[in-house]
Amino acid sequence: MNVLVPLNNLEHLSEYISAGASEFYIGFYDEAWKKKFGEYMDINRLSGFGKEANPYSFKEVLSLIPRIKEQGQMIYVTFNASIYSEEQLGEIKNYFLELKKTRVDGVIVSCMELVLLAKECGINSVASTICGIYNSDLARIYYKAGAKRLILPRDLSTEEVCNIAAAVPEAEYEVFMMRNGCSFSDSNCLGFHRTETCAICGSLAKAGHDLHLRKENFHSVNNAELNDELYTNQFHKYTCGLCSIYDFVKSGISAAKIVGRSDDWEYICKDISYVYENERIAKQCKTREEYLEKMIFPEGRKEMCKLGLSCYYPEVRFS
Amino acid sequence: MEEEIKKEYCINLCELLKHIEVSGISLEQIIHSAEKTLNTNSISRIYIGSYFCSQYFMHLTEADCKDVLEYVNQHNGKVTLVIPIVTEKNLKKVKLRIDSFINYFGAVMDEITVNDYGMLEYIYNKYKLKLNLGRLFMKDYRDPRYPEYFKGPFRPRVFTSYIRSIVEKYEIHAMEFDPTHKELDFAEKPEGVLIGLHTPYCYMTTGQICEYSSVDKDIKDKFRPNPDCDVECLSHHIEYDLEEIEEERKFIRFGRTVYFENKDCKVLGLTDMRVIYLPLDTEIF
Repeated sequence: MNVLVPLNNLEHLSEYISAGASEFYIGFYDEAWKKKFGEYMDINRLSGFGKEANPYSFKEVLSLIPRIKEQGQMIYVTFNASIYSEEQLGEIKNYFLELKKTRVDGVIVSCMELVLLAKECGINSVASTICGIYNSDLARIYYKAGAKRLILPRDLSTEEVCNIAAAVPEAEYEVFMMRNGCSFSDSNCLGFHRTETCAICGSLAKAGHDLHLRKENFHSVNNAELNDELYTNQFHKYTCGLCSIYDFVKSGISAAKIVGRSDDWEYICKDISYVYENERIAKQCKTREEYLEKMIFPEGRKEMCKLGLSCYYPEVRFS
Repeated sequence: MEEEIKKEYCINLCELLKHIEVSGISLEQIIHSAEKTLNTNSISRIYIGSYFCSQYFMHLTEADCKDVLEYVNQHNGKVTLVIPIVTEKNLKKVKLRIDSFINYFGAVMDEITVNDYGMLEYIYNKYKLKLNLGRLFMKDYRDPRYPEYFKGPFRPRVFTSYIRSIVEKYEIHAMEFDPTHKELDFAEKPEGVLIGLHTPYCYMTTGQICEYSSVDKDIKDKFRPNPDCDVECLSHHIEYDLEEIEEERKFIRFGRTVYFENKDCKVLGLTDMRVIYLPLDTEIF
């Protein structure tokens, strides 16, 4: 299982590789796109964060690709806005044709239109979590359309991930691992992710809110308020999936994705090494229990490994 | 002068039908109240099922649907079954439930709304019913925190040549949209497809993790994706007051989904349409 990480800081490429990264993904900005389609029309899901999340222009990305390939690493370019118009798809075709001339390993795409377009342009596509591949019927459809790899949503259980991979074994799979959790579905969270405000989950967490119960008594109100407090302030503040690595390795999952395109490189490096080392341990273990005994925990274990609230896949430890 | 649009009115009881029993109000009263709000006397189609939650879909029983069947039989109405995106563990069970609902309703259930390509393919191959592309296919951003974007007029981006080919291949009857902006322009819609607009709420975000289903669970079991539940959404909802929003606008978490109110969405580019009314503001809730 390869470790896939965001490449936002070329200066630290060697540190990423030393830590265990072998695949990279990168987005880009394009002033011409913005001028043509407007401020709110994203090229990728984090276009609204400007250069903080997409520090390179498309031209710069084209020049970065050979440098990554020279290191023997894989590189993907991200086109994962939630939707594109026909005209925008036409513009993306131009990007794809330019990328085709490089040794890029593929494009990460968010919709069926782009899976088909990548195929037409002769580029491998990875169906991103925005595609919402929640079951094996959907996995089969995206694979048949041409997606080489499928990124499974982070709000699936370990068992569901493994069952989808078993049901459609001809596809490659990628799963989420480490850093930013999400309480909603990537595929249908349709508020902006931009610098001016946070994502809608952040706005809801800050908002004043009234919890309404149909029947109120002390226990029902108390339980609901405690639940809301945990959901709002504790759940997925930071997220880790290390305990599931054994299951994913045994199921043949191809890559574990570390998210955080705008995060500090040192934190990303630490997470790369946790995933990389644990993947090596998992390969040597004969059972999940053995792996769970031998695995390396993240530095913030004391706070994170409590009650499953920071787990992508809590069922492995807290069943 | 604004063009007159011929409107077909429907009531959306997805994720609400089970509320009727606990609210003690009759279906007849709810529909009457909705007709009053919409200024019509012709609600003749009822949407049942769920857009967002397979647990709710599986909890819905034929007994819950009894009043709906009686109502449409008495009023010459029709029923639309809405199927949510289903995660792997529930896929087989949901398919069995679909079959049960179709058998139970018979001819009055004349169309199905699907929300993903997998279910579209499955239903098209298995049943001879009209098909609608549900609101989860339509993924334009909707965000009143950005007034400049929100005001519109906005042309939905979904009408790509690929979607047109889907409309043709699967003989799509209707495409359903949320009131994502103050003005929506449907000039680019495929010919022959009916546009349905949800009102008065626009869904903004949803997911497989349900806050309410965790209320009575141990902490270590809380907030799991698509958990088995006791339909706790029947007894809980949250209203939010977002500090980024200057105007008066209700945000509500109903089931797994967060909606914002947008009752005055102006529609352009249509001569006829379907209005799909979610009666959250009636006594049912």
